Amino acid sequence: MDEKQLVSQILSGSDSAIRLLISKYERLVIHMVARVVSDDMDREELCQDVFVKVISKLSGFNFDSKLSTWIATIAYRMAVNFAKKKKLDVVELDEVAFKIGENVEITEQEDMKQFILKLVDQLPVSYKSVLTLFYLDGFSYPEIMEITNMPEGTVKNYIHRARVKLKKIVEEHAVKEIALI
Amino acid sequence: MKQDIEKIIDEALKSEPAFMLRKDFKDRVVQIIKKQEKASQKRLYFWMAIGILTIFGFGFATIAYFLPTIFEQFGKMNQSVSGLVPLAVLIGVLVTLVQFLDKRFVKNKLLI
Repeated sequence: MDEKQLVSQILSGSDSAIRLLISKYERLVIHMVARVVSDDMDREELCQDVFVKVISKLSGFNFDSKLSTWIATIAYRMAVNFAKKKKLDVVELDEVAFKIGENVEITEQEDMKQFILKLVDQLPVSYKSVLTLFYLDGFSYPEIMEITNMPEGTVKNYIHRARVKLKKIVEEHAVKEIALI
Repeated sequence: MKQDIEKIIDEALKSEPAFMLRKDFKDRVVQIIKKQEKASQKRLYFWMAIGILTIFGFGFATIAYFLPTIFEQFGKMNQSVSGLVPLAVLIGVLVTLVQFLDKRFVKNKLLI
């Protein structure tokens, strides 16, 4: 079933079409929400709110963009608003005091991945969102611009700066262990 | 070594979050949507009723103000032609019923 058929079936009141839409796009919404919100209950509730909003606004979707881009836009906005409400987005990248813990021991590749993901969690919301859209959901720069309403330069800059920052911290803490990998 | 770190950062950024939605997630979303639809339909019927009453009220008041004798004439006509009021009520009920069925079974399906 293509996007147009799916949308028309939802608008004609089909429950199974709503379920199909959720199945198709739940990972996309989870990616955005789970990167921004840490509490599982909040995540569940926010995912629910995103899908309710998506379905209730679906009659206004005019197929100017892909459905996934439109859903990601709603998920992004709601996640950012949630973060603002919870005051999670008050710092810039340079102001983030990364909590690394004492005597971090990275002995395996998996440890390092977990270590990196903990660092990602501490990034400002806008950086986390852009990284998620780019790496996890595979959106292109123009699509990320459309979703986040940021200029292309800002999107590229966020990705670059976040990567440089992550790399710097990882290098500082994993110099010895990297030889084992 | 730097290439390894780059590669691991790439892999970490591409790794799926462990979070999963509960099994009844879809049911709950469908339930909320249905509740919202019902509530909005109730609101619509409420405002339709208010609109109809207002139109009738204004119509009645306007006629009473500009043509006060019309009610007397109507009373005389009602006496001479039996069953005029029940017929008018029946037409009104039928029009309302057609509007309701149209809204419920036709227009909702065409909102695509």
